[in-house]
Amino acid sequence: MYLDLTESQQMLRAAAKEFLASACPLQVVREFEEDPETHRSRLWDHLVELGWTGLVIPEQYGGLGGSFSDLVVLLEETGRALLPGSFFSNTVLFSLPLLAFSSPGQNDHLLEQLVSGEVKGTLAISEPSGSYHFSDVETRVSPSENGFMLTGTKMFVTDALISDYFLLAAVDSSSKDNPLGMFLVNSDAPGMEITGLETFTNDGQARIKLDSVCIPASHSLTQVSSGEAVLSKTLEWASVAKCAEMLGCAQAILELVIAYTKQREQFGRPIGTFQAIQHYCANMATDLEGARIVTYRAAWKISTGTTSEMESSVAKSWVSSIASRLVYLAHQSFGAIGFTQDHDLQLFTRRLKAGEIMFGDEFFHNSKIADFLGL
Amino acid sequence: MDFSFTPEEDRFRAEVRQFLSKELPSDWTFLEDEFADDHTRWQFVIEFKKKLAVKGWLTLSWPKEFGGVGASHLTQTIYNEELAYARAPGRDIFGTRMLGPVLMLYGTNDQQNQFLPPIASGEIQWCQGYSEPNSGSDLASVQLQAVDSGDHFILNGSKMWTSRAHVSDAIFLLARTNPSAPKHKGLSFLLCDLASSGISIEPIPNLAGMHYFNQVRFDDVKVPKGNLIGAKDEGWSVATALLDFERSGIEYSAEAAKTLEELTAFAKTEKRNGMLLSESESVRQSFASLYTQIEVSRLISYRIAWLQSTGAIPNKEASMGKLFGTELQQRIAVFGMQLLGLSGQLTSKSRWAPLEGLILKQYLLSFSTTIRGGTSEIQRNIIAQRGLGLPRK
Ligand SMILES: Cc1cc2nc3c(=O)[nH]c(=O)nc-3n(C[C@H](O)[C@H](O)[C@H](O)COP(=O)(O)OP(=O)(O)OC[C@H]3O[C@@H](n4cnc5c(N)ncnc54)[C@H](O)[C@@H]3O)c2cc1C
Repeated sequence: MYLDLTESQQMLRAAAKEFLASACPLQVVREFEEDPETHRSRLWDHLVELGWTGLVIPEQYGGLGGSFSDLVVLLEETGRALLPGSFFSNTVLFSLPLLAFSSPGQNDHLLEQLVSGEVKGTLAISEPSGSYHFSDVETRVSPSENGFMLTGTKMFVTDALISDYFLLAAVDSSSKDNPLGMFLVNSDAPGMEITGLETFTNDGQARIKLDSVCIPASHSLTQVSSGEAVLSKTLEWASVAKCAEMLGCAQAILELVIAYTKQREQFGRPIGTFQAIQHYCANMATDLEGARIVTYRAAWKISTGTTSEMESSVAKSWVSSIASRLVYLAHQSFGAIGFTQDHDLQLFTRRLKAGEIMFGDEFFHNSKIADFLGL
Repeated sequence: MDFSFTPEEDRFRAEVRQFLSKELPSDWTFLEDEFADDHTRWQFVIEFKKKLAVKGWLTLSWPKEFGGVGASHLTQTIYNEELAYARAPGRDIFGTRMLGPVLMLYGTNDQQNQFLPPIASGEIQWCQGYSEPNSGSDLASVQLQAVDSGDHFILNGSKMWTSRAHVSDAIFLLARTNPSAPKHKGLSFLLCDLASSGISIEPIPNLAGMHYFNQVRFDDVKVPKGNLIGAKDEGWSVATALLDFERSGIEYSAEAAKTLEELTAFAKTEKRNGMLLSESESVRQSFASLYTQIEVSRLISYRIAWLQSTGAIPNKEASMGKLFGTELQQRIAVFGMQLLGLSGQLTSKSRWAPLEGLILKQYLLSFSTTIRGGTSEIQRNIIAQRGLGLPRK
C-alpha cells in the first residue's frame, strides 16, 4: 500500500498549478463563458506545449505515456482552476477510447495528430432522452457503399463545435447479437448539422443532427471489442475522470469558504469562530476526504487494468452526492455575497453541479452498484 | 498510489479469518456491548482473549522490546477489521490500545515490567476512568480528588460511564491532584486496583437493556505512589498521548459491511407487495448508497493506518474517520429497521425475530456511537480548528 502521489505525479501537479495560476485565472474562465466563440482555442497551444494532449498517449505516437492515475492528478488541478475548453473531452472522451480500442495500425496517424494538437475529438452518445443507457441509443447505422451510413440526433455533445472528430454510438437494427456500434465521424462530413446548446455553464455542448452521413468502413471502432465494451469502458473512464475534476473544484470551494469565514466579521468576531460555520466546514472536509480516496482508488484500479466498474461507480456515486451537499453549505457560509454573479463562488457552484449530472449521477450509479451487489 | 496489500498481509488476513471461523461458535450473535452481560459469556470472552494472546495478536503492534510482534499499523488494521467483521470478542482496546502505549511512553521500567505483561497475556482486564457525572466532553474539568498522603494518594469522588468496570480488574484514572492550578495543569494519571477497599461499582443499564457501563465510586481509596504514571499534575499530557496507537476506525466499516450483507440476504428472500424487497428500486438505491459509504469509510480508515505507518499523526483524518464511520452506522441501523418493518420490533428473545434481533440491537446501540470516544460535535471542532485552521476566538 502506498497512498500518496508518486514523485513524478507531484511534479506534474506542481507544474499544472503553476501554469494554471498564471494562464487561467478566473477572469479567463469568465471570458470563456461570456463569449465561447472568441475564446475557444485560447490556451490550447500552451496545453500542447506542456504535453498535456499527449499525457496518456504512448511515446510511440509522441505522447508521454502516462497512466490514468497521472491523468487524474492533472484533472484535479484543471478542475480546481475551472480550466475551460476541450482538454477534458479531447483527452478523456476521445483519446483514451481511441487508444484502447483501435485495431493495430488503425488510428496511428490520428493519435499522433491528437498529441500534436492538430486535431481534436469528442464523444457523442447521448440523445434527446439525455440517457447513458445503451438501450436508449436510437441513432441508426446501416451499411452503405464502402462503409456505413448514419442517421439520428445526438445531444449534449461536449465541445462539438470545435472538434474535428466524434466518437459516436449508433445501433444497427439489422444485427441481432451485437447491434451497438462505435464510429469515428468527421465533423465536416456532409449531412452533419451542429447546433450549440444554451447550458447553465455555457460550456460548448451541442446537438448534432446526422442525416445519411457516410463514413468509410475503417471508421468503425469495434473491430477488436464490441460496441458495448467500448462504450461502457469509455463511460466508466469518463465518470472517474469527472470525479477528479469535481474533486479539485470542490476543494477550491472549501478553500474559498475557509478563507472567507476567517476574515468576515459579524458580532465583533470572524464568522469562522461560530461553531455552526465550523461544523459546515468539517462536514465538507470529511465528505471531500472520502471523495478523494474513492476517486484515487478507482483510478488505481483502472490504471492496473483490473476489473473496476464497481469501484468507478462507487466513486461517481459518492462524489456526486457530496457535491450536491457541499455547494449548499458553501453558499450558506457566504451569505448574500455568494449569491451574486460578481462573486467567484457561483462559477464553481455551476460547474460542480454540471459535473454531478455528467456521466451518470448518484441515482444512475447506485442502480449499477445494486446490480453488482446482486440485488 | 497503490491500494493493494502485500502477499504477506493477505496471508495474515486469511490466517486471522481461518482462526476466527474455527474458534468462534457458528451461532455467536453477540455484540461488543453485551459481552459483559452475563458471567458465562464473559468467561468465554476472557478465554478467547487468552487464545488471541497466545497467537501474539493481542499485542500485534506493540514494539518487540515490550513483548509485542512489532507489526505495522496496516497489519494491525487488517486484524481489527477481521475481528470486527466476525463480531469476535477479544479486542482489548483499554488495555492493549490505550494503557499499553501510555505505559511505554510514560511508565518507568518498573511500571512497564509490572503492568505490561499481564495486558499482553490477557490476564488483566483494564477499564477507563475518564468521564465523570459533571465532566464529559470537557474532560479536563474532572473532579475526582487525589490527595497526596505520603507513599500513596487518597481518592474521593466518582467516575461515570465506565465501560465494563463490573468485569474489570483495574482502572486507569484521570484525577485532580492540584485543585488550585488551572484545569489542565492539576491532573494526574493513576492506576487503581478495583479490589481496593472503598470502591463501589454500580451498574447503569443502558437504553438497549444491556449492562455495559457503570458508575465507579471512590470513598477514601488508597492508591500507592508507584501507580502514578508520568509526573504528578501532568496527567493531561499522559491521558492525551494516545496518538500512536492504531486509530484507523476500521471497525466501523467492518461491522457495517457485515450487517449490510445480512440485510442483503434478507432483502433477497423477503417479499412485499408481491415482489422481493431487493427488486424495489428504492431499496436497491439505499443498498447501493450504503455500500458506497462503507467503501468510503473503509478507505478513509486504510488511509489513516497508512499515514500512521509512515510515522505521521493523522489527527484530522482520525476525527473524520470516527465522525463518518459512526454516523454511517446510524444510517445503516435506520435502514435496517425500515427494511424489517413490523418485525424490526422483535427482540432477540423472540423466535420470530429476523436476523436474531440483531438489527434492533444495533439500532438501539447506534445512539451511543456518536457520543462515546468523543462526540461527533467534538470531532467536528477538531477537524475545523486543528485540521482546517479555523479560529477559536
Ligand atoms: C456507551 C458508552 C460507553 C462509554 N464508556 C466510557 C468509558 O469506558 N470510560 C469513560 O471515561 N467514559 C466513557 N463514556 C463517556 C463518554 O466519553 C462521554 O459520554 C463523552 O465524552 C461525552 O460526554 P457526555 O456524555 O458528558 O456529554 P456532554 O459532554 O455533556 O455533551 C452533550 C452534548 O453537548 C455537546 N457538546 C459538548 N461540548 C461541546 C462543544 N465544545 N462543542 C459543541 N458541542 C458540545 C456534545 O457534543 C453533545 O452533543 C462512555 C459513553 C458511552 C455512551
